Amino acid sequence: MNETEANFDIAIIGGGVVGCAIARELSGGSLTVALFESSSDLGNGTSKANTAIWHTGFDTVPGSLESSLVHRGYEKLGIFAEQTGIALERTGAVLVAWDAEQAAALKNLQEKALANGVVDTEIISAEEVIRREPHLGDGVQGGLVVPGEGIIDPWSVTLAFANQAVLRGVTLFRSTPILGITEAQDRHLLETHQGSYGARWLINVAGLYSDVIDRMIGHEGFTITPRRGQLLVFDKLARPLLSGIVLPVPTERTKGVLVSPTVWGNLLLGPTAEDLDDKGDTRSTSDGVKTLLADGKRILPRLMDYDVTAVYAGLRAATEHRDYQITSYPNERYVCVGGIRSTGLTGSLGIAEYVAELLRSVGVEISSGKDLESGFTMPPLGECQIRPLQDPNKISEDPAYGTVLCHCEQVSLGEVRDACHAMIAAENLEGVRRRTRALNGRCQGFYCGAEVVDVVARELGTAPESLMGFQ
Amino acid sequence: MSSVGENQIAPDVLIVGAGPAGLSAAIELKKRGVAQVVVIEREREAGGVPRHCFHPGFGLQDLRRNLTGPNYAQRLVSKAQDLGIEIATSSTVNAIAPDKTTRVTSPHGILDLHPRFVLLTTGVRERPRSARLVPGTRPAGVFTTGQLQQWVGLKKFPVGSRALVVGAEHISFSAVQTLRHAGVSCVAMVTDHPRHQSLWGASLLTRAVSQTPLLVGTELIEILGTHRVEGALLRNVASGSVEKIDVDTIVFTGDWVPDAELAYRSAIEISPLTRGPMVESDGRTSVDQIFAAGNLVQPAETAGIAARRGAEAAMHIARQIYQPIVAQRIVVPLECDESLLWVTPQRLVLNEELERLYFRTRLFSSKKFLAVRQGNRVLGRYRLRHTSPNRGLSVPGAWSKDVERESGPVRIALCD
Repeated sequence: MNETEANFDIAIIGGGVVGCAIARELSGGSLTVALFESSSDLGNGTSKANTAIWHTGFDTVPGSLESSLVHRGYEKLGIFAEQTGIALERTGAVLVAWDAEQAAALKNLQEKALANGVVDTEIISAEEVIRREPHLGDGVQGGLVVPGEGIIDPWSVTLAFANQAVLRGVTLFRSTPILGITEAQDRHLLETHQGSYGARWLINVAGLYSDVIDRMIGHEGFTITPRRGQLLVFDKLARPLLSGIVLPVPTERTKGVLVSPTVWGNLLLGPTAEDLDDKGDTRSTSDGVKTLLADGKRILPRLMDYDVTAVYAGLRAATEHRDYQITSYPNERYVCVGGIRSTGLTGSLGIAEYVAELLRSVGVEISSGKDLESGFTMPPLGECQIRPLQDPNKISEDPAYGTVLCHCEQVSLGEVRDACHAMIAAENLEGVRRRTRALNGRCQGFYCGAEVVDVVARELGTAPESLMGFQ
Repeated sequence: MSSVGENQIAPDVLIVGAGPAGLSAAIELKKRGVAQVVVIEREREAGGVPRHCFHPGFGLQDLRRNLTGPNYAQRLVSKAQDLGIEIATSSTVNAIAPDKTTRVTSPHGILDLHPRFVLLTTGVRERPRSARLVPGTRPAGVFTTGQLQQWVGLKKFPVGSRALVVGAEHISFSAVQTLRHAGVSCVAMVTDHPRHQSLWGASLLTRAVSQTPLLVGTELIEILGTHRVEGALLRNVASGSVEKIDVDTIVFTGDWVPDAELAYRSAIEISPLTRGPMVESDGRTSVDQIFAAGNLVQPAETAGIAARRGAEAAMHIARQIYQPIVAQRIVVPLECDESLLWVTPQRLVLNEELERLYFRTRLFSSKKFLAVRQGNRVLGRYRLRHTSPNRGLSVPGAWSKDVERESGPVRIALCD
């Protein structure tokens, strides 16, 4: 038998929002759990570039697994965000019909919402839509209000799950891609650059690469086709243009282009939906940007008066199936959690609970999931929260919280320092951005770029040039 | 780092931003006998953008010397300090309430000041890649000039080995010099304009020394590379042909936009053209007792002009302090046509002489005139030898005494 570095009862492959939620759910009992993430940070794949919406699931396919798990996850995530101090705003959404056909479709959508357990939607007139969102473009025919939709800080959710999981005993491996999987008598052997790890149970939550892992085990449940979504983030000065989320009436292919506030106080426009072959192609394109601007101009004309703060692209893990692909293979001690397309953020806690139930049903002793809220909180990053720079107590406690490092996003030196020394610390600028908002603002480093790099390099004990992509 | 003292919570004038405009304004106020002047600066050191412009050419207009940026900044700071002006550094103004209560955050805590007058001199920044909507990957190695200069001049960090400079304004040539200074070979400068917009002398000298080709009528259409910039795609606007250029560093230069968030948050009316506060002839904004000056109002001028504009606004504030105007002020809007990018001030005050009118043209031209009209009357006509897109221009404002109350807005246009 092969020598292994360590053995675990359960190995989770993939540290995205769903993998971290599962790690949190399965931890804390008598079983040993490991979480393997291929990149240097958690939430670095599909989880990092999404629309950051806390979604009721009103438009999922009724009766589907996705519908039920998003429904379960929605409430839980709302409570979790509150307990852990993650920015969440209950803004509500309005689906806007721009032609007669779309207006006619609202009734069906309302029925669909009802079938998905979302009971408080309301069809409203064009006048009422404009009263709610006075800056919308011409041609509004009517709308459907979904009061339960909201916005959330997606990066903090993933990190909070991971932190709680680690606090409850999960062993976290970052920068540890799984190179191959072989089967020993009573366990799976995961081959990594650092050696081989044994695991009795394997849970595949590898997002874009979940089909690759599935094939390593010998299954071919589905094929992932990365679907690229390009997004434009507009200057915070544009925030007053919207009161809540503005959704399109969905079509067959995608939910379409939405305009939404973010918890950081920006407006977000997107996403596009482009099927690709390359799982690493997170480029933005001039066609993509042009399409989005054309949509933005139609939906919210005054948005065009403001600068774009960030252009980015994310990949959704789409499969040939419409629903989530969650399958348990008890004889092989393997659970595959694939095809979590775009509702993974909201569904994460529902999916985690479901996976725990699957394991329990075949006799795996998962603890009851109690005691998960151990008083752990995330730094306040949202505009609806009190940031350290606004908090006199915090500043008198430590002047570093009163020293502004990133002016555009109002990030203090203390927060950047903390991000570099947290339990799950940032390892690079990208990690610092997601943990603090530093460098994410409109100047993109004109004022603070050099200073932030200097501080981060010092705190991480690394050379500035290594933070800037020099090999 | 110095903070606001206990005895200064109700200054006569609070200045936000200790760059050339803010410091010159403070000096002017002090010279005119205004007792309590406090300058708030969010950086650790006062001096503004010149602090990291390690090249000469500063002080020509206001100090009558040719200094490097850091020397110029230091001279202004010392001059202010010698006059006993308090400069609170590492201090950020979060908002100015309608009653002028100004909340300042610093490592010492959060403090509310109650100034009589506020002067905003928060300056400008360059539009970065994202605002210019340049698509592609998001690798490291993409800079603005401001960031590059701090990187090289203040921090002495390594940059790269082969750079592309986007833009061909004055600042773009200064970026080339900074790169050269850092030992980076500047592979090309690109501009979608048909020529550069700097002075011939400066551009020739820079390009001769650095041997950097200027690719006109060319735009950057995509950035390549995963962790670090690995190249860029350039397109010739006329022919549409696309060429890949091999660089590891890209510097976006110029394309200035005022850093006006505080003005926005203080409900000051913003010009859609400059994106900075709208001002009257004397520098006052739409909010009572709040003035604005420098590059925040006219993006962007040389440090010398910003300094002069700061001092001029200060003179008007001092006048307000000593001789509060009781008579009703009559304001006439000043507008420009499509040939101009912007004009400032945006409002004239009747019976108050305007020093100069500052503006930018949209296109290159030569031997044109700037016409100032009100209704059918031509108030002034000034010959302009050459204009370049976004190059700083100004004409005297002597015609302002002929502006009439009931004749509608004053209109500015280029004409033959």
